[in-house]
Amino acid sequence: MFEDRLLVRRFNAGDTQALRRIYEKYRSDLFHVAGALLNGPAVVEDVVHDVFVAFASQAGHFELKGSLKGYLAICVANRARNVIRQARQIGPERLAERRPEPARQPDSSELVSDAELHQRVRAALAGLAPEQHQAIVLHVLGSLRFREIARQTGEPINTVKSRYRYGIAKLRSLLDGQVEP
Amino acid sequence: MNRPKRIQSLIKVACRKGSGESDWTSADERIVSDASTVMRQACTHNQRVTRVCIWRTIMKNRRTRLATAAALAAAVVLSVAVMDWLAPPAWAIGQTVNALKGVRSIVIRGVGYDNGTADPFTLSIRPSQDGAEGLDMRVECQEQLIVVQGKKAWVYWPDKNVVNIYDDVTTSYGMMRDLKWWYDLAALNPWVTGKILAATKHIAKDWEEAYGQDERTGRDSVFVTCAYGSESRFWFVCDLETKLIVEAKYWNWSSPDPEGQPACHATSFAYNEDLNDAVFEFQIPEDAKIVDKAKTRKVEQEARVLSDRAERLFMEGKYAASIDTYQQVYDRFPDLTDGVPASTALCMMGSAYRMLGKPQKAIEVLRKQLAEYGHLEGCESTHYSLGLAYMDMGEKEEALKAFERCLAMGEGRRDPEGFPLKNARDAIAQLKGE
Repeated sequence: MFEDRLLVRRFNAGDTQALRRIYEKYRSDLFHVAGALLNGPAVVEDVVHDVFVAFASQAGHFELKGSLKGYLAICVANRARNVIRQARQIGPERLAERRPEPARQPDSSELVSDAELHQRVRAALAGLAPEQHQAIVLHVLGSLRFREIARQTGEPINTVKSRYRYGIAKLRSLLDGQVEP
Repeated sequence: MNRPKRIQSLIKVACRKGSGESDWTSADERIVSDASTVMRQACTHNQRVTRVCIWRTIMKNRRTRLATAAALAAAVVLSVAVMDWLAPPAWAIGQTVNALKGVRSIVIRGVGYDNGTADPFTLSIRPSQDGAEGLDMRVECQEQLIVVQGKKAWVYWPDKNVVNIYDDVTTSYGMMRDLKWWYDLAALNPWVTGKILAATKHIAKDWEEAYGQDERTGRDSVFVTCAYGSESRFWFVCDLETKLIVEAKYWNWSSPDPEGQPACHATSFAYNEDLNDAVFEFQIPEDAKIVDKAKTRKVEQEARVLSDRAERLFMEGKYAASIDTYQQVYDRFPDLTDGVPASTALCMMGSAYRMLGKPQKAIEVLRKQLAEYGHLEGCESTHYSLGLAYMDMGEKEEALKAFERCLAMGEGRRDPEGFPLKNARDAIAQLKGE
């Protein structure tokens, strides 16, 4: 957190090394968040690219409120949501290119391989309501606390927690029988 | 593992495995490269905008620089006090940390130089005694005395017999605002901590350490050099036995030669001197004119809010709205803080009119600024803007006059390689080359 404030100070002073450090520090989390919200490496890369370029355009007057990671992760999530919205406007056939198919209800007796299970988890996630999907991705993959998500999104913290809880419950039902206690 | 945890774990594994992480490496350079390009453009734009805005620089007179230099010198001292993680083996800086853990006061004596004129100063500093955020500080030189108690401050000019009283230096306008940087660091912790070191190390560049004998004392020492931004550089000496700083120098744009005379030379550092509370008290001299900044603070804040709003509109490219807002600043606060906000407003209105393609209007307001506030420092920027407006009008002779006036006014007062002097020289070369 403290390092972030110093990095932002250097970033605002025009230090490109600070920008690079910020990128290297959070790229992995941001790609994971984008990757969990979108389908396809190209669109994931575009979203992270756009977020960083937009962030860089604020050099000189960027004010850090809350955590830098939280800010960037929310930017990625928002941009991913915009991409999905645009895809919806383009047409459902294009949407299918960008989001995975909803989860297929598994046969409880079906034995699935790890890879298959992972595919089903991703599909189940994609089948959640967007708000629940985002809350889970930001909390689990972005490692953001609920308070940070609430601060960055402007939502009440209880709303964020509820979305996460309902999302997890729905995932459990979608993946019933495949998640061992 | 309970079920929700198992689901969380599954999500992590599933999404990370399926995210094509190995593909990102190829994207890294493109993203960083594009972002860096955009960042440089943004900084150039911001510099252009903020440089036109003389609001802040106008108050940076020589007295301010001395106070700032002294404060920065002290900041370096505080930083060195805790640079344990920087220490190479030969410089057992961890011991410096220990040596300075008990330091409860520092007195720095030295000389500030302004255009070759030496001005001796004494800077005394200690943590705020009432437990409040900030420091107690006294800076004394020929022309000025500054006493800071926590956030309250008195600035006294003996030659004018004028006292400015500030109830909160961190929110005040003008020269005391320069201490904001100092307080930003101090606010991390009121006294010596590793956080200040971390700040120093992160902000500094070209950090170098060399070992040798101090010519003054003949003792083994470490010599540290570092730079802040493009204009400021520090050099200081740490005694290897006592682990304490014994000498420091500070250069800025007015002293570009690193081998030459610095802007500030701290020649002695006294640690744990018994500083009487009276050192940090200020008695208002008899018959002194008192300017109580607390009384004008609310008005100053209003002016600042309005000015900031206008500046933001300008930066967003909403020039017409920016002009309207700056006009309000000019109308409502024509005399506030010697007219600085109003003067700045006129200067910015000139730039906004130029951006709207109305150079005639720009010339009108810039001329107005020079007529009403031409006595303020920083008006060389206005002459530069005026020159640009005349260029827009195709009036080369008038443009040349304005640029040359800018150079004449800024000589010895502004960085010759910075805005607006360099820009004015370039513009003159361009005009003469045509």
